[in-house]
Amino acid sequence: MQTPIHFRAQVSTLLAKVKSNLRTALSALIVPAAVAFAAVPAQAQAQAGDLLRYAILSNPKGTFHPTLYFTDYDRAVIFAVYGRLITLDEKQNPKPSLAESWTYSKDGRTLTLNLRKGVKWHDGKPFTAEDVAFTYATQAHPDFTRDKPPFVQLLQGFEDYNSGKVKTLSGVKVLNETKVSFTFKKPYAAAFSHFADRPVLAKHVWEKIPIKGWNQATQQLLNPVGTGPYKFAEFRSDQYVKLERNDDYFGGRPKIKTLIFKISNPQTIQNELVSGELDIAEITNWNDRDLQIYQKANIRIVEEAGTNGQYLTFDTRNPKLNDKRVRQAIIHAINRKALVERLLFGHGVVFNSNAHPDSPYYPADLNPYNHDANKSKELLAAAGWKDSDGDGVLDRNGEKFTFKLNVPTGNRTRELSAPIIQQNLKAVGIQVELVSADFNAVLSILQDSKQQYDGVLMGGTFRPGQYDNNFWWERFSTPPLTAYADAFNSSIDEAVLRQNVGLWLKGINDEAIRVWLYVRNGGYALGPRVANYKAHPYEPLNDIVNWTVKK
Amino acid sequence: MLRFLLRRLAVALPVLLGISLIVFLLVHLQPGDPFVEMVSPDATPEQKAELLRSYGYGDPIGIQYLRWLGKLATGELGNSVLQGRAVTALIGERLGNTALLAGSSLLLTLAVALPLGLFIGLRRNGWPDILVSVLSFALVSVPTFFLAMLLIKLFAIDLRWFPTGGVVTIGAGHEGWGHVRDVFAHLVLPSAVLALANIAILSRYLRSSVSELVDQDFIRALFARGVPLRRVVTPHLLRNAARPLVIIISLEIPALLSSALLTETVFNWPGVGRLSFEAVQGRDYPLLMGIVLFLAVTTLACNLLADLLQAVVDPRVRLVR
Repeated sequence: MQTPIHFRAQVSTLLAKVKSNLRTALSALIVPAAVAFAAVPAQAQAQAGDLLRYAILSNPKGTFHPTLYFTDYDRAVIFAVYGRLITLDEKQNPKPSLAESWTYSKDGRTLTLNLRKGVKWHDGKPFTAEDVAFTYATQAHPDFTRDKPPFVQLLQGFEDYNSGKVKTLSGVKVLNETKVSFTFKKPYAAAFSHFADRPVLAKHVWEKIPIKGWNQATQQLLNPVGTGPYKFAEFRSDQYVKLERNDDYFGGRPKIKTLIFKISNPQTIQNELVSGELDIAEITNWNDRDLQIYQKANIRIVEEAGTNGQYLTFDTRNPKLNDKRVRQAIIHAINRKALVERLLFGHGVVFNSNAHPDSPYYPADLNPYNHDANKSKELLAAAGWKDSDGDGVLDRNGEKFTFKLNVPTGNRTRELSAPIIQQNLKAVGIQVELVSADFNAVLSILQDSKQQYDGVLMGGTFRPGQYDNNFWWERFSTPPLTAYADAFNSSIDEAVLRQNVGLWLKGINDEAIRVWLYVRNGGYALGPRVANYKAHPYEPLNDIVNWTVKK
Repeated sequence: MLRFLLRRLAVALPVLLGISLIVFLLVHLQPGDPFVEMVSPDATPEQKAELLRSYGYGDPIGIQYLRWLGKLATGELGNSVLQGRAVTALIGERLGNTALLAGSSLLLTLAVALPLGLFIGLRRNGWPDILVSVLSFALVSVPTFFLAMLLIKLFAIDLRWFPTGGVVTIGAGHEGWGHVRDVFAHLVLPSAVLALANIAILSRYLRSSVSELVDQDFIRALFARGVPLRRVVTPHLLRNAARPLVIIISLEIPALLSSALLTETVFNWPGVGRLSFEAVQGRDYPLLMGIVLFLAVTTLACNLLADLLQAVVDPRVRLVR
């Protein structure tokens, strides 16, 4: 029979065996780890030699096509690879690019563009007016798998072409190799806004594929051929897009040889910048603490005017909200300055109509809707909302003023604004219920005019020069606004535009169709390797040919 | 054995069908659609409705499901609505990355949990056992993403031992052996994150298995007969203790594949997890159904593997029927 002492001795020797096994196991891990250490320092030096890593905040869909793209991430790649007829200058006025100059016909309806000569596509073929005509005419084609923008709808002959009755779009004419004209039903000033958004594609690449199948033309979508400063080299989904310098770029040979769009996400860009794995990234959060971390790590911050506004949209057909006074009351109740100060840490502006306050025709005399809880209660009372049972919540004909606010997830600042808005409205007697859902679900509420809602928090990017009299989100329309819009969409006369856009913006302000919450300032964090950086709102890559990186 | 396999495969088919039906319904009944982000802000509601109709999303849900099923029967998973590419191609290019992550974390788990579990199983209630227990509870209670961010802060930012994320060093253009080393460096932290919680769980299983076995008569008998240690540990101790482990590991594989999402996001690891998150956010139905099907098939296969391995590892188990 085995004695306990003997057994214990066996166990301890067994343990010693296990310990030594453990040690060998660990050292088996340490060796490869040491090898990995040896690999890592190489990372810091690898960037020597002409390479810029620019962050994009999500994976592009791989639709590298000027008129089919729909995400900001594809847009970043497209605007580096393709050229545009015009770009926007610091004042958001059109600046010649592929189009050198332009003239209007006497009646203002026809815009003739004189194109730059000697421009070549990345595959060597010449750029001509045929490419321009093809790019914009195909947007009107019946098989084009996207919605038809106002630009094409206002072109002469759109209806016949779009219905398939005729084979060519009469409003777009190629006059010669470097001259193309666009004829609209009425003089259309916002044409340039469309040109700034939609680069030119190569006819010789895309005419071979039936328009219906463009969405699935993977080979061409993933290997874009453009006239821009950088040529497409490689796309590794969810990792990076690699572009190489176009030595023959008509805007000048770029100084940086390789441009890499690194796919990242808002939570990790700060880490990546600090550790040197990124060179340029957008500032998504003006938190003081984050800014300090950047400063300590020798990362420069560049700030510029914002291009994106955040709104609380109203369903104006909702019986609670169809009275203008109620909507105005809600704007007065919300302390928008506090949102800018607390959520944006002062890096933003309050605005009061459907355009950026710095935009050209923004009226100086808009109702500022100052934060005034008393004024708010007055307006609500005038609209019939009183607190008749003293429970702190307004009521009217037995109905309580409850307000369901839909909040999309994904934008931290917007999510944080919701409880503040809830508190502000509680102070004037409106009971707000916050409902969170993902972005797709919330946006689909706005897009479905059959759905009634109370309020939705949503954002939108401004498009300089374009003023859309479409209030689908708010289910709103009035004859005066439509009249102003018709006026400014049928004229290229500066005075007419100034007057009518001004009146239109003032009308929207007065009708309080939505709460204009804030415009967050734009900004970029630049790593220590970046030099000669320059950019302005709406054109983050405009000056890229002059940027350089230090070795 | 063959009959067992055939029977299992026959059962798998209706299970997959059921899974696909349930997921299809759940996904389509959610508010939103793929065109929400594809249309421009000036699109009228009518234009959007028309686009949806042309892609078949206006049809009743039963018809849509049968259409999808019909395509599946011919071996077609369809094209991603948002990316235009074939679903199989999209999953295929990410699969390698997820498999690499899951595989390496599994290896790491085994490499550490086996000796560790053995060690503390034999030294039950000693101070190493208590230390490991405390650490285990801590690791299991901490959420994955928090652990990930902690490790990144410590090892990637402060100590600069490893990169903060990604699968390769962008722009460095490593080739061959250098590329392998680069990927390895990027693999360490994410694998560690996925492995740590599993090490805790697995080593505890092993601990109870081993400590039970050590007291068994047949082990004592082996020692009494003077059988050398190595021949006690490997064939007798480990093989018996590992019995439940084999099953746990087989079931871990599908869990690893699906739980990799958070880790992949924090580490910017381009795997199937991130792809599925993109698909859900964008309501990319064909891609989503493709990924779900892939995960379902993997899970069923791993369950089958677990049952088969049980028969291998435990001769008392007979694969009946």
